[in-house]
Amino acid sequence: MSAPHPRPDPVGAEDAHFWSYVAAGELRIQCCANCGVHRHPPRPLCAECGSTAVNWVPASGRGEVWARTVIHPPTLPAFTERTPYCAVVVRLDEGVFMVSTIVNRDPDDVVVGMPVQLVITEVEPGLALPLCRVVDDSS
Amino acid sequence: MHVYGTRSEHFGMQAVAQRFHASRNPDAIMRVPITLDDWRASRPIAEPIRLFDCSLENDGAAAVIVTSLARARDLQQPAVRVLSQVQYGAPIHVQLCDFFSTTAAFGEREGGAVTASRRLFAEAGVTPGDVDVAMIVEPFTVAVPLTLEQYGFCERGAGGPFIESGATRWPDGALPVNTHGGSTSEAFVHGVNHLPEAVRQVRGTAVNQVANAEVAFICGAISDPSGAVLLGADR
Repeated sequence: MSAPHPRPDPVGAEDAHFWSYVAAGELRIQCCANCGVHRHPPRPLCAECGSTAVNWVPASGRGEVWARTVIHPPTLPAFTERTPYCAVVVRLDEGVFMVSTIVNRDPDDVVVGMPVQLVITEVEPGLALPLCRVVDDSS
Repeated sequence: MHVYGTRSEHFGMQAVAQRFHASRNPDAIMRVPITLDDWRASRPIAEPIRLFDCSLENDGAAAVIVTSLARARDLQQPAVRVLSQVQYGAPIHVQLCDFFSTTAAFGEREGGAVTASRRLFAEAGVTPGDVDVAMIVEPFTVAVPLTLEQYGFCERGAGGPFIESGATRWPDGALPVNTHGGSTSEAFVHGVNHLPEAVRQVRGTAVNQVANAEVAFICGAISDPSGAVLLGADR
């Protein structure tokens, strides 16, 4: 039995907002209500125009692997049994970046540019996270 | 690495060079020289970073005295001049990370360091080519090629080959980097130990002294926010 998975620990109101959507099974990101630019991680201001007006819009979850690493021990206790595992930065079609992990490929088979789909997944009772599946476009 | 073909061995070569520097430094914690094969044999931490790419965990302290040039000249040790300094945040601030904002994904915007470096060198009236020795704070050795590129010591993407050429290795390199051993071999004091080494270099009192060092570059980790300083000899 592995240690309990760490829970999201929001660093501000906007971050808490994001995770409350995830807990409800929704992947939503901020979109500036003034200039229409998406942004993530959640922030109070638009870096493009400075506006605080924002809409939380549904994200496609579609994107591609923008960067990858393979994590080895030592890790937090909850992750030790999973090592080595792949951590990725995904660039969503909306242009924002999210950190996640790939659940359906061996770590060594994950390469930059792979098409992926983020899926909100219950990893243990009461904890949902946006995890990543490589979209099989070979067939 | 994906865009420019930088190889993990480039990081290893910097780790080996810095360990060589530390092997001659009585204040260094890690003084046993390593080879590139030793680096390859060190366990992976978060690929492509291996154990020998990581900074140490230790206690330590360092200090510098900042005062007027007149007072500095009145002290026992030779004065060192601050030629210029910069601090910056990235155009798109992502906590402690400038990497996202420096890529094609953001329309090839400049990283914060690129903008800051222009001011750093302009205010000092020198160019990267005038710098004799560099102290680059490296939480991981990866920071060295990134910093060399962003501050204009080599072209973007050329940091790996720059290291491979031996340029960062004392005594023969064109720009010896972290001549005390750095965070990975001397000690991890959040980079504060890099500053006194730069001071020693322009004073001419370093263990691994760069001949006739006149200008030293010191940079905080290539992150966001960060900063850099140029020091010059007082002669």
